[in-house]
Order: sequence, then C-alpha cells, then structure tokens
Amino acid sequence: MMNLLSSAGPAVAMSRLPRAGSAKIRESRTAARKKAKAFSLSLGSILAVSATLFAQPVRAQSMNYGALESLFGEPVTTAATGTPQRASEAPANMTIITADDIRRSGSRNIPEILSRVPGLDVMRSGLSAYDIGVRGYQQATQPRMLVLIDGRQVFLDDYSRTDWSNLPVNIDDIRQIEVVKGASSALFGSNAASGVINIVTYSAAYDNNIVVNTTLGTQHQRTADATVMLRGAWGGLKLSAGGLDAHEFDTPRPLFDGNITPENPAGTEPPKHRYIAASSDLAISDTLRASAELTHTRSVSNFADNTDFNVMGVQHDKSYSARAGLNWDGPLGAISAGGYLNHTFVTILETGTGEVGFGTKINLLVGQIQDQFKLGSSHIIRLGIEYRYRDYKQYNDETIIQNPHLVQNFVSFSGTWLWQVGDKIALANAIRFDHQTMRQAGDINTTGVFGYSDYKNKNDVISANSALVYNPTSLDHFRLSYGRGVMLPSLIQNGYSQISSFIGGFLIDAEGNPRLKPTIVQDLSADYNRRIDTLFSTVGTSLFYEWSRNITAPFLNGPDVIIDGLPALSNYAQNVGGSHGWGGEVQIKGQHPSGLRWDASYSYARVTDGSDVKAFINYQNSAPRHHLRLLLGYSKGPWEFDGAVHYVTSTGMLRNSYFSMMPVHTPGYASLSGRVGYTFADRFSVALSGTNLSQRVTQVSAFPAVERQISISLTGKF
Amino acid sequence: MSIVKGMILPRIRFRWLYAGSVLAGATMAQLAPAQMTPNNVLAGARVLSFLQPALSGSITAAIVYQPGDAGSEAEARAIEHALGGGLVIGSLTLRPKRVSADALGAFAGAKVAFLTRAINSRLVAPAAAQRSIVTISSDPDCARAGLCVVSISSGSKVQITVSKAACNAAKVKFGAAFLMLVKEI
Repeated sequence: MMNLLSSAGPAVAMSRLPRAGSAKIRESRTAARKKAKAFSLSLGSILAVSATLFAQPVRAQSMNYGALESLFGEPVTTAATGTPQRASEAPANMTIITADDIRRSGSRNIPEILSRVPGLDVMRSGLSAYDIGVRGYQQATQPRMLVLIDGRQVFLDDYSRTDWSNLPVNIDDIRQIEVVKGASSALFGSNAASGVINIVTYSAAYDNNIVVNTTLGTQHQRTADATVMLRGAWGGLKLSAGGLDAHEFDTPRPLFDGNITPENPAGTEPPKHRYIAASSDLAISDTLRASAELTHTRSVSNFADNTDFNVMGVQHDKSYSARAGLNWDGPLGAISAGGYLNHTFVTILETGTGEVGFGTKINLLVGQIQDQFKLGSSHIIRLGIEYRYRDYKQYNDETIIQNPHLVQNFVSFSGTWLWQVGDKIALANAIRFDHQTMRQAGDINTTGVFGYSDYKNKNDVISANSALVYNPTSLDHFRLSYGRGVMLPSLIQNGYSQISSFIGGFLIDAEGNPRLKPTIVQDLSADYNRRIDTLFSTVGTSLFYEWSRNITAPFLNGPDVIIDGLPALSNYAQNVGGSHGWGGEVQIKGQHPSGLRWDASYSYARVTDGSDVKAFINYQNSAPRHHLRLLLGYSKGPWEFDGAVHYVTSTGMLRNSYFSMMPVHTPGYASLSGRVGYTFADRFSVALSGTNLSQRVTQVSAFPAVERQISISLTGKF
Repeated sequence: MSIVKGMILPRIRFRWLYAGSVLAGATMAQLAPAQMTPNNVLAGARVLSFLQPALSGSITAAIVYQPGDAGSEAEARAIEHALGGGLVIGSLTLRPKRVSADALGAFAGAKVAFLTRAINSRLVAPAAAQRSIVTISSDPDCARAGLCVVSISSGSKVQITVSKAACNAAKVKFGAAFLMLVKEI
C-alpha cells in the first residue's frame, strides 16, 4: 500500500512515509545495517524529529524580580531587550502573566493559561498535548514560538517544537510568564521568529516559596507538586518535584490516528508526567553570585505530528539538563557567563503494531557571555557572545536502519542599545549575527539526493529589532516596532535519513535536506496603551503586519533516485515560498478596589499563504481569525471567584488520512472555564476548577475532541 | 467703538491675568517639593535593598526636619509613622530617628536619611555624604542638583531618580539591574 500524495503543487508533491504494518525496512547495505532486523515502521515514526536554534542569552536568576516588582508596583522583565525593564515600558508587544493570574485561572497546565493572552492561538490535540501559535500562524509541533524556563531553552530542536507536557516546572513555583509577540531572534536566536515565552520561576536566592499542591479531577487526573526552598545570607537552594497521571480523552479518533492495535484499540496511552528540578544560588561576594541547576523530566502524551502532516501519535519524552552560571555586578557592568546542556530522548509511536517506532536523541549545549552596562545617563548597552552546539541521532530500540548524526555549531554575536532620547522618547535597537556550520558525522545513504558534501554547509543569518517608544504622559505609551526573526530548519528537516520499502519492493528514500534556507519572518507593529485611572483599567490596542519567506514544508517528493539498483522515490523537506498576515488586538483589563476584576479582549489575524504554502501547510486556515475573550473575577475575604469565556471562529487545518491530505473543518465554538477558591488557616486553599464547562465534548481543533474537565485542588503555602 | 473696546479689553486682560495666575500657581505647586508620602517612604526603604554591599539587620533611618516649620515637622511625623516601630524590608529593619536640620551631629549612626520639605539640602548633603548616608527626598530637583542620593515620586507611577554625584560623594553604590530601571543623573 502506498501512501504517496501528489497534489496541488506543480513543482513539488508531498509524500507520506509508509505506515507501520505495511512497511518493512529495507535491508541495509552496510555491515551495521546488515545486522539490522526488519521491523515495522509507524507512519509518523518514520519521519519524526528535527530541531533548530541557537541563541538566547543565558539568564540565570541574577535579578531580584520580587524586590523590583514591589518597588515599582508592576512586574519587571528582561524578555523584551535582555536588560531589566518595567513591564509598562518594555519596547515590545508583551504580556506578563503573574502568579495571581495563574492561580485564578484554576489551570494546572501552562497552555490553558496562555490561551487567555490576546494574539495567541492554543491548539489542543490531546489531554496534555498543546501547540501555541501566534498572530494567526498555527501548526502542529509549532516552531515559531521559542519557549524558555528562566532563560534556558525547553523548546526541542528535533521537530522544532515545545512539548508542553514535559516541562520541569511546578506551576505553583512560577513567578510570571512573559509572552513577547513578534520577532525576537535578535535577542533569543532562531525560533523566536514570531515570539518568545519565558517562564520565570521564584528565585532560590531571593524568594521564599514553599508550596505543596495536589489535584484530583475527571479523566482520572491526579497531580502532586511541591517546591521547597532553603535560603540564607550565603544564597539559596530550591527543589521542585511533581507529576501527573491521567487518562486520555475517550473521544473517537480515526483509524489512522494513534498507535491502534488489538491490544490498544484506543491508539493512545495514558498521559503521564514526572519531573524534578534542583537549583542553587550562592553569594560568593556582594557582587559575585554563582548559580547551578539540574533538571529531569519524562512524559507520555498523545500528540499531533507535523512531519507526518498532522497524524496523531504517542510520544515518550525524556529530558535531562544541567546549567551553571556566574554573575558579576562590577565596574564594567553586569557581566554574566554561563552555559547549559540539554539532553533529550524522544520515542514516537504512531499507527502500527505497537512496536517501538521512531526515536531521536538530541543534545544542545549553549555557552554564553554577556555584559550589560550604562553609558552616561541615557544609554544602556548589552553585548553578548554565544556558542551553541546541537546534534541529532535517530535510533530504534533494537535496530539502526540508517544512522545519521547531524552536528551543527553556531557562533553568535549580539548587541542591544537602549537610548532614552528624552523624558518621553526612547529608542531600542537589537541586532544579532549567527554563523552556523554543519556536518554529517553519521552513516547515511550516499546514492540519494544529498550526500556528505551537501552537509558541509554554512549559514550566516542576521536578526534585528528596532522600536520607538513615545510616552507623552505617564499614562500613555505609544510604540512602533520592527522585527526580523530567523527560523532555522529543524534537525529532522536537516538531518533525517531512512530508506524503506513497501510491499512490492517499492522504495522510499526519506532524507534530510541540508540545503534548506532559514525561514525569515519580519513584522511591523504599532501599539498604544493607556491607563484610565477613573475606570481602574488599562486599555491596549495593537496592529501588526507580518511576512515570511522561505517557509519549509516537511517531506515533499523529490526526484527519483536509484538505490541498490532499484528505483526509489526521494522525499525531503523543501522551501515552498512565503506567506503574510495582518491583524490586531484590543484589550481592556482592570481591577476595582472592591475586588472585582475584568479582562476583555478581541483579536483578529488574517493570513494569506503563497500557493505551495497553502497546499502543504495551509497557515491561512489553521488558526481562528477571530478570538473574543472575557474574564471576570471577584475576591471577597477568603473567597475568589473567576470565570472565563473564549469564543473562536472556525478553522480548516490540513490533516493527513491514510490516502489523502485534506482540510478538516472545525466550527467556531465557545468554551467556558471557571474557578472558585477558598483560603483557610492563612496558608491553605482549596479550589474547584473546570474547563470546557459548557458541554461534555467540544471539537476545538482538527484533532480528537476534548472533554469537559473538572478538578479540585488543595494547596499549602509555608 | 472705543467704548466697546474699552469694555472688551479689560475682560481680555483680566482673562490673561487669570490664566497667568493659574499657570503661575500650577508652576509653583509643581516647583514646590512634594511631600514624602507613606508610599515614598516604603519605596525609599525598598531602594536600600539594591545597595552594594547590601544592608542588613537593624539600621537607623534619620528623618531630617526643619524646626519651626510646621509643614516639615508634620511631614517628619508622617514619615515616622510610616516607619513605625521598625519597618522590615527583607533582612533589613529601619528604625526611625528624628534629626533636626540644625543639629546634624545627630546623624551619627544613621545609614539612611529621609529629607522633609523646607530643609536646606545644601547644608544637609555634605554632612550626610561625610557619613555615607543614603539621602532620600521626594523632590526630584534634590537629586537633579546632586544634593540627594535618591529622589522618589510615587504619583500615578513610581519614578526614581538617582544622582551619580551624590552617590560618589557618599561613596554608595547600587546594583546594575536597579540602575537600568531608574533615571540616573
């Protein structure tokens, strides 16, 4: 059975790889491959993976966020420029979600909380599987939004995506979530092409957040999380651990979704998550601090695989990270030096026999030095140098079919210049230059389209940001900004390698494409915020225009090649053209001294794709054009009441079925969520929360429908 | 016509006079140093946590007032009230001590001084700097003139001004992250 789709595009045709049960691995030609046993391939497992990136500054928690927030009466962030700034003065379209917002949301997962941010599209494909798009650009395994925890990348370079079910963070230990919409590569490197989400946790050095939570809910949901801290004049230690067990939604899914077997007719596995994170901050002197962090996290989730054109699968992710840094506050400014290592194993099972499908190992090593200093009274400068190494290997539990080992090195130079032109005008500029080299250190087929020499490739890319800020009064904030972001191909797109045969001896040669060009995303934005004290509110409006070129589509058909004397159809990722979008947001958010609070917003995003982008990715129909959000809350004594309604219009995301690729119409819908919380004995609180409350089952995306969820949680703060 | 002119002109002049007096009043109000509010006191205390080396433990917070000036004395009482029996900010406790601008010898032992209106900052500044005291005022001109280390205004938005000259004179230093968030003159 062949699963090749040739459609639409005149020059390129997309292809799916053989499904498990119908495919056998071609006997390998090398000695290593000859030892390989034939095994069944699952569809998405064949393609899996990729990565991207190099870039964001290593920012250990050297800044006392809590003290600065108390002083200025508003959150402080470094996510907009790399230097500390008050949220209201940041020269970027930024939303900061505070710990209070997180608690009142009633949610125990970050994407549900982010779904309340205007301009973000949160797509759910399973109980714990999410993708977060921005400004109308949505796809499974979303590559445009870089995600960090305390400045460390948790975005995975395999597919270029974030596995939201596998973050090593206790949601009760989050101080704030910073969301920047618009290209931010000049500061954070590639994959911050359309924005960045930085999750800031409480600091071992400065905060005292000892918290324990347990939650029980529908879908057999059970969570337990705890954070403990030890702090003294010498510094601090923090330990967080926790996990989730649940059952996947029972909503029906097509036969081609999931790892459906006689033993596992649902084709899913129960979502699971375990994590542990330990960090320390030592005060070596008044001006010198050292920090370190170790994390481990593992998860099981049922997710949508973009490289297989959105077929559902099961993924087992396992990550380890280690980080160390030094921060020196001296006469040369604030100098920080540090680095981290991320090591991730991913195993993916898709439709098939239940055998282990496809797996990858990825490493990411980042080393960075930066200095921030003031020049005179009006200029703040940040200079940074970064080295980044990442590599990618494919594996299977028993058999190595092809043995690619893609190695990429990056050297980056970056700078930020903030100029306070006068009392009312400020100019912010950032630029970054990245030099990338790559090589193929593994064992790949050499008679396909790309050989070893193609991997000896270089890329030089430039990212930039510029913003003009005008504050005519202390209440008004105008901003005009431009951003140029870079999205490197994922490691799978660059480095995949596999030859497989279908029944009948027909060969498929799936390859990485080392010659892919980076996707360039540029945007223009005009924003205006005004605080209206008489309404106890802040009103914000934003308009944007964004355009992308060299968009990459995964695994399209290429020319026929000869492998071992047999004809084979090649397929590999290809640049398929451009896309542009525009839209805007309007929001009013406030809180009355009586305890009433509100947040109402409307956002619009319209994307227009080039013909091949539309045929193979279809951004223009993958995200709702209209979002309406209304959040209302009220606090009275120990009680907190919060509710939210979110209405979105219809979508038509492309999905692969066994034989064809077609848009799946998802009608517009409204979802209702809420929380009632009660605090007792000063340090304990109990809360009843729910999502998708208005109906038992809601179709929220092209993936299996989601169910109503209700949970009760108990939290203790000490 | 002249009668008409005669009737109109004085009105115009009156309006100009009126507008001028309002403007002058507003300007004078703007120029007059703002009073140190409880919020300013709290912000001032928090500013101390960004000093390098960091202050900790119990320290004396001088409240400098002008004897005989009712406004200054009232403001001193308000600051004293805001500090209470000892304002705790992190590991730091500020214990208030009223100091007359005529008796700056009483500064001894203080690490921080809140300056009230009506005092002569030019006289206070050298005495405070000599003892490495962080002087905090609600008058932006005080820091602008290099006479106070920190000026704080906390109207609709907290605004902090730090004087480099006053910092150098008092030999006090703030952390880089803090300085990037304030106006440094």
